Amino acid sequence: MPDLATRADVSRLYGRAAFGATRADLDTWQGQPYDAVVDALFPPGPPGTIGRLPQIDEVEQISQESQTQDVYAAIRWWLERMLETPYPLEERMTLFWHDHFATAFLGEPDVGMLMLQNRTLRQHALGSFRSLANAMTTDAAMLYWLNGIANRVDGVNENYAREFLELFTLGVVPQVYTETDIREAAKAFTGFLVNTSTRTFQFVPTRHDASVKTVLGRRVGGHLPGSPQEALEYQEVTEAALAHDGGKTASRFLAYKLVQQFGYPVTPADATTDVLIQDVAWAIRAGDKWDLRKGVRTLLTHPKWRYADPAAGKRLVRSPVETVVHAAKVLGFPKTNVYGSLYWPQQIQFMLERAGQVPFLPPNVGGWQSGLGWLSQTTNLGRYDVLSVLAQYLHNLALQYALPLPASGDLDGWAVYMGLASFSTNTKLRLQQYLADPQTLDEVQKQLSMFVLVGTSPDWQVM
Amino acid sequence: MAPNVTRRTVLKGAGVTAGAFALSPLLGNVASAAVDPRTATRRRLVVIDMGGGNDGLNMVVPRTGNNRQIYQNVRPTIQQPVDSLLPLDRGGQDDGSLGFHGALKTLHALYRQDRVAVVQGVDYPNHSYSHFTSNDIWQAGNPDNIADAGWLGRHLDRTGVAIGELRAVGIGGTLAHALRGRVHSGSQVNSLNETHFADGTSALANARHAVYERFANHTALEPSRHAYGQMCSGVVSLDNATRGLTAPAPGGLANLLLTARTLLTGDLGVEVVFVTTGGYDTHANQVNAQNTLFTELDQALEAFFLGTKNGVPVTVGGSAGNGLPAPVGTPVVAGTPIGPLPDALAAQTLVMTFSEFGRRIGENASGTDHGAAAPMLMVGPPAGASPVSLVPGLHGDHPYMGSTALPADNLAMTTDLRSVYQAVLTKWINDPGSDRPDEGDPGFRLTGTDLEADGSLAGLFASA
Repeated sequence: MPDLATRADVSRLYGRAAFGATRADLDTWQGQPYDAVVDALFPPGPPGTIGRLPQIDEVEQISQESQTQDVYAAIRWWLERMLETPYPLEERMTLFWHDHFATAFLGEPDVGMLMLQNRTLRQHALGSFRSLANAMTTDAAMLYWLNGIANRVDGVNENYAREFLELFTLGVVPQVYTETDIREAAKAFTGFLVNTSTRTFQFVPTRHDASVKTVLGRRVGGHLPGSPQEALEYQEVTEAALAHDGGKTASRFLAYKLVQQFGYPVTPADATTDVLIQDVAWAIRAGDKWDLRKGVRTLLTHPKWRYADPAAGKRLVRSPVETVVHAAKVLGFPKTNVYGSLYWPQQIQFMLERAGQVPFLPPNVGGWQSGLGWLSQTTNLGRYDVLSVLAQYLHNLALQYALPLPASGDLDGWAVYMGLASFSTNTKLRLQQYLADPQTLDEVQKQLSMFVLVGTSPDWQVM
Repeated sequence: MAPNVTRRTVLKGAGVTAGAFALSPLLGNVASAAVDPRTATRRRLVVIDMGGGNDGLNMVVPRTGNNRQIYQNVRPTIQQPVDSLLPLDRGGQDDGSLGFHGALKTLHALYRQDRVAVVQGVDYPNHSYSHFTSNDIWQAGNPDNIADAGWLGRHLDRTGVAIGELRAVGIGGTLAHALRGRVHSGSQVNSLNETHFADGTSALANARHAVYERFANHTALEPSRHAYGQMCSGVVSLDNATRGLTAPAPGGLANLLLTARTLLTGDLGVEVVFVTTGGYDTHANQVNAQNTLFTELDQALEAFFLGTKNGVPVTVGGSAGNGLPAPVGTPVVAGTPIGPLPDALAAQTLVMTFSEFGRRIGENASGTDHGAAAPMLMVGPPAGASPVSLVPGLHGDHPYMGSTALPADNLAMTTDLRSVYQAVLTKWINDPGSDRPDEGDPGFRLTGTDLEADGSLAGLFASA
């Protein structure tokens, strides 16, 4: 008997890993083997296949638009990509890595560096974590963001080294590195500058600390000044971090973050006990490959991820970006390219800001909140406003872009339309009460309200 | 002159917010917002989180002696010249050996009016140099469990919060860890322009909001969905509570403190405000960054206490509106100056700052890396205005900076943050006359030579 995906399986899989299901997704994948549904989410070909990456002229275009529009052009570009991509898992993982290696637009030197970082994140999103970490150490936007370009032999700046060990590779529960490890790693990372016209790093041997360092008990550096080995010394720090405790420390930290963002609330302390974290960590570090595709596939096919804990129900709070993208997907906004597209209401950026998540503007190097940390009065209002603004926008466009909305009273139809398998008792009761309210007679207005209310319901917001 | 604040009770009486409640008789009773009748006499606390790790040594700077020599030696590029500093010279321990950064003019003027306390060398045992771990420890007030509820959230748990009561409010960023209790949590307001639904107050919108509010009834068997639903109800409460409130917005951190001031001035039951700001992570380009940061902090204090910015009155309600330029061709209408913080409120209000850590004693080249202990600033009521007063001047010992031959690397703790929090809870916030007193946090009952029996830092507050 093959393990077939139910409608609820498809709804939760897409909801948590692919910016949400559309009615078509539910119809297509219901009753198919669950593994096949998961596999279809993975992009074909090797990681970072060039045709799927934003092209350089696109980066230039968006960067120039963003000079005059703050970072809005880049934000809109990415939201559209999330909405339109045939590979939503790859895009969702790119957002995951943007949160992990959180870098914000500072107003200088330009948005293009963040666009290129975004391209790099996508290139490695389901590839090798080793390559990704090394690419981030030498990423131009990162070198600005964490003062890598200020880090030189006669003025060692610890900013990147500390976050590399704490936030990017090892975590702090338990903290396995010392302050000395940070100071030594910082020395190994000295010597980088950025060519602002090409937006690429350059290694300057005269700025590099050529001494022998010890990071996490491993020898790093001490190469001949000017040698090719010296220019690659930063990769030895990555190796020291990945090798700690046979790879368990880093792989468990990465698996913990994946479960936290795709699964359910966990604390770093759960990394040594939670079966899902253990299994995903093993898949990542197996054979010293740091294979993210394997880790993510293990996550998505794991019974502990697939089925909600019967004692605690659904526990993943959707992120604000996922809320916007899924809502737009449900409404069936038309496909378009980045030039001259008109349909994202400009207010979306402000609603996202209020809801607590604007791409390219994470609050700090720690990234965004997650789980219940997303929730406050202000951020919940932002979530509500995102949906009501989209609904009003459609109304103003005379619904010409919307897929046919279900009749307001067709509750089953609304569940399917919004990518849910069914409604909870309370949500169903509340929607029925709304429909019975004598103040709301106009059918189109009722339909728009149903969109807003289903979208802001606990059922839709917490998957 | 009080800011343009309309009492919520008046609004409710006038039926302005009645729509959400009255239009949907099917939906049952809505918990109405409650205000503790003792709000008017309650003491208030405003906490400012200087996120990023504030370099305390360039905020409260050595002016004389050995520490000055060490300071100059290890900070060749980023040192603040002696003649730029504003001396702490009230006498006694305040012998002029320290001075505020030159940008902190308002703070210094308040200091000279005996309203400012500087608690030196504040930190916790087993210091963490991580932004996130250290900030969580400061916000939880628990060095042994960073995931503990927030120290102000636990205060709410002990005293209780009535449904709909805005007893604690976070401003800026997301809801602060400090305000998250085990049972009760604070509310989050980023600006008073952002507490109302974008779809307005039409009958249609109100009917939606009434349904949205009742997502709070989601079964507690699904705790995450239940928590989300509770927030939906909180959104509606906040929308109602803040109708008609407008805060002037002269820019920067002052916007957040004036939002705080507007909430405190309104009759909303607000006791605790937690303001989150950032940018203090000065690994590079520190001199310029600090000038900007401290200027912004000082202007925020000026706006909050004096109602001016750079000496110019901050106004509300004029054609300049909330700091936005008037449309071309609009006649210029002067706004109403908000004036100094009203006397009654000034007598009740304590402002205090903290940051997750100070920075290294020595510079890296143009900035400083993560360090340890740092001073906390406190601004209290005018002398004689309150039965409980903040004892002005320096508290705690200045951390040891080493010798000129061998400067220390970091500043070690001389004051445990928990003793400061306990003093604030038991001496300042706790009002024995209240129906909901808070006798302090059991986790803060430390013992030590400078501590009172309940663990409070001795001598920080005095009773008339």
